Amino acid sequence: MSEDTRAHIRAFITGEVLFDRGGEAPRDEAPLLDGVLDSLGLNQMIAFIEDEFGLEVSDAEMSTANFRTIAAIDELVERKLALRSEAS
Amino acid sequence: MTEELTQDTAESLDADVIIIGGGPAGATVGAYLGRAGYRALILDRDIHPRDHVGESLVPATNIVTHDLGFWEKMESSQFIKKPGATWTGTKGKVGSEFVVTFAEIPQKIPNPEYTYHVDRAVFDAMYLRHAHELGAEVIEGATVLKVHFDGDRATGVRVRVLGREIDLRSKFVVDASGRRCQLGKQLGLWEKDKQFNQFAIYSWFEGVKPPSEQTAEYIHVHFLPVERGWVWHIPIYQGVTSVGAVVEKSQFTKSGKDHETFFNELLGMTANTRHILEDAKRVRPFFIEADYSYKMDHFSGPGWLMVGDAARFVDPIFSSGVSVAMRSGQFAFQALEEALKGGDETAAFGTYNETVSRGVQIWYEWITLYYRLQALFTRFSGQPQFKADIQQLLQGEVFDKSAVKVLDRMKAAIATIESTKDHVMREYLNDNIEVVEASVGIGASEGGDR
Repeated sequence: MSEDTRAHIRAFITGEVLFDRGGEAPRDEAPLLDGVLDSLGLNQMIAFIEDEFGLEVSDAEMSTANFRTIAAIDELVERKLALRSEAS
Repeated sequence: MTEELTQDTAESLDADVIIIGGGPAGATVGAYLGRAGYRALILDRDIHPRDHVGESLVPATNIVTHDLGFWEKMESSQFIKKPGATWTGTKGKVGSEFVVTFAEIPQKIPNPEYTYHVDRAVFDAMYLRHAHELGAEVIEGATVLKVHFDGDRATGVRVRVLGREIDLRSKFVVDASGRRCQLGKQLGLWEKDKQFNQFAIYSWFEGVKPPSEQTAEYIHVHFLPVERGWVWHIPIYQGVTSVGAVVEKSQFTKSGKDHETFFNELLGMTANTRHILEDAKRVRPFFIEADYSYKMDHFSGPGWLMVGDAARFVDPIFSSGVSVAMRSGQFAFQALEEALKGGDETAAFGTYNETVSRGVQIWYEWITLYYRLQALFTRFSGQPQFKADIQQLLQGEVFDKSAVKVLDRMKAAIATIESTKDHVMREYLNDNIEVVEASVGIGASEGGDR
């Protein structure tokens, strides 16, 4: 887990995707798929991850498990970053 | 067309080409023919200016408006420049929008960085007048009742004008009657689209606020949290905005609501749609369009061609109407000119049919993919390798290139979503839409004339 990655993701959600109803940043384990990220928000989130971390998210990786919470997205990003550094 | 027929009957004919309808499709054909010195007769049942839906153009129209010398007239008009398009989501905050700016990836067309939003009453009248100035004859208030055929060959029309019914003869007949589909209905070619049964309710408003000041002149598409529902938001004049909601027709019929209540409920559904109308005042009655998605098996036959909406209309989502009208009008002129010069009509009209079929099929596939998974294209737009394809489609350049890679890539993505049970996009798939391959209808038969 990376606090830095999570902070980036949180800032993106707060700044770019949300908020219909206030300005409170979602916590690490708060559910995102039930009312926070809609389809447009998810696409923005994926584009953000790809731009910000230089990763490519495949269609198959777009699972609810990977995008459930900020912590889950962080795990996905860390996993992919680790894979990349192994490969290089 | 044989030389013999041309010489024997040319003097007794009322025109080289009779064009049914003086909207952007008919006016394009008339303008090109008139400029080339042919006798084009446009018959329009309406008296312009008259209202029409479809107020936002795509840059592909610049090809034709430049070519015909009409661009300068648009530049000196009151119309608002359109630099791109934006989308807002159903849960996003006000001002959070996905933005596509034409200038980012300019197409190989004149002035690729913008086109216009237009008041169609004014625009269509200006454009028809331009066709007249280039040499087309125009009769307004003339209702074409039927197209005459000799065997399977179109030979002219019966028109009601001056309180009489008159028969007019020409070498060719072009159906530009719009969604009335004069010839398609007469020949039994018109077929209701099986998938799309949308309903649009729209009006003009003063005091509409854009999602953000930076994109005030863009077209805005606001997603609604109902099946295939969205809102168009088009600046028409300074301070005047066209706002329309599109939903499945059954949504309206089963609601039992009146137009105003239904519209207000739809626009109350998201933060962005609430925001745009917060201080707005409606300045026109509501207009309604329904049952507008249909197709034809083919768009040409002996002595006749269909152009624009008279050939096909699916859905207004990508502002394709006027561009299909103008581009098909341009291709129709090329086919007609070849035939009028004594060339091979069957081959020329066959080429026309194939070109227009391919273009409208790409539009159709793009529209069905879009509705199958509305937000999918925003993902692709974010990826460098597809950005150019998406821009090409959004700018309306679908006729010249048949391979649009991004459509295949979108289909693959949808297949993955379908086969991945916990895919994050699964719940957004619209199961009522079937994606149709762009190959359908391409090279369709020519009604037995080849």
